[in-house]
Amino acid sequence: MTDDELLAAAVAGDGDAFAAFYRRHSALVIGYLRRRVPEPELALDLAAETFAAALLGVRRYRPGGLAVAWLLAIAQNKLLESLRRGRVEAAARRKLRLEPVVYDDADLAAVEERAAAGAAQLSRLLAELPGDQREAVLARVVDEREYTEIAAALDCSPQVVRQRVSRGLRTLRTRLEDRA
Amino acid sequence: MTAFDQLERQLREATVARRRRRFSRPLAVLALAAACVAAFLVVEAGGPRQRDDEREATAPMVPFLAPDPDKIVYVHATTVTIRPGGLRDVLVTEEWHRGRETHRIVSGTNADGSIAALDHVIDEHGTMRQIGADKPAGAKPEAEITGDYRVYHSRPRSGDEATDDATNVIATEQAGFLAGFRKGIAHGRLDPREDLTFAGRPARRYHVGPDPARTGPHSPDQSFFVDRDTGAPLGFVSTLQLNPDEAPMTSTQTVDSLQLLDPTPANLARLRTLTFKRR
Repeated sequence: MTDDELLAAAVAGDGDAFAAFYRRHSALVIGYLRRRVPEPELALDLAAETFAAALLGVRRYRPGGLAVAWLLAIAQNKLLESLRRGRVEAAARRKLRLEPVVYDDADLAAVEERAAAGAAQLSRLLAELPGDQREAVLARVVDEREYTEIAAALDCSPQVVRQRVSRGLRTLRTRLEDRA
Repeated sequence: MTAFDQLERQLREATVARRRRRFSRPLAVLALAAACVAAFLVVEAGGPRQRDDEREATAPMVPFLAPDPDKIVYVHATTVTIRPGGLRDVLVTEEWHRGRETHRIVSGTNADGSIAALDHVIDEHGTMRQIGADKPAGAKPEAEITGDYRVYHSRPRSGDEATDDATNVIATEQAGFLAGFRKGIAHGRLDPREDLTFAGRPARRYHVGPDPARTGPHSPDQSFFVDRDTGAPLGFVSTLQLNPDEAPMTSTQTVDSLQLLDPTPANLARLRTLTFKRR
């Protein structure tokens, strides 16, 4: 099933579908977060909150977008929120009445493994994009830079950057779905 | 079982549980979601704070933003939202507000021309009484509209999915329409241009940029406009980038009428009584 199909099924109350969505992308989310926080337990905690928030907002996801980009945007929000407040909020998990996840050293080692796998997955996906699209997607989605800033760096207009990001995301989506 | 397995199991169970709960309260959630959107458009204003010296130099908009607490503030406003793809929504808000009491009627035009409307009164203790109704295009007078009646409490109750929404809506509306402008002006940066206009009036603009701590897809860029001469709120423009690869959603709210009413028995009745009738 594609991400869109999984998320649509999750909206309809299919718990297995959202679990499959989680399994498919947990490494990517953990890889994204682990690059940005100093501790593996923090990455795990933020990932849990990210997926809980994704489930809470799943009805707002628009099919036809790129679910991975949507998920990473949520992860980014959770990360920035935690930096601002000095702690990881558990608001989404509380709303869903999730219990705190108990982890041990083996889990933390697994975070590192998944983070490496997620980073490699992202690198592989990006490596398959044409160079101009890869640069644009990296700068916009992964490094979260402004369009104007990216345009200046790439010596083109912000509109061109938008087109490259859009095409890059579309290509990624197609490839992710082909593999799913 | 690893921590990843635990989380997966909990997410699976929560997905099913949410579906079950949602079915139990569909109308309530829908009604509150509409109210949440309206509240968000008015109040959401994060972003960089204005420096104290800038605020002092530009702040004297007192009468409309800090009205006599005895008066009832009446506002009629129209919000036009253009969504990506060109879809256009129109939301009309009418509000009477004093202290912690609010009466608000919000109506929006559906794609088929019919109008979905919510009428709710919130008392000073935070209890909201609401009538939600659909009225056909070219409808009868509001006093003749009938709809479903519900009561919401601001105090959380366990196990109620809509509680957080209700709490947020009630808190927002108890603060009143002008709270959004107060917040926008306190947090915003004054645009130095002297030739600005809004809704045909000379205007000052306070800009609240996207919150740097929320640079994801849900951080709006907002401009609050007040009358350059009187300080009266004129409206605001909010843009929200939902996806990086498409046009932003833009909402423009125009204050059609803003009055400070004396607390006469008739005006207090307007503040405290639902306009629509229970079905």
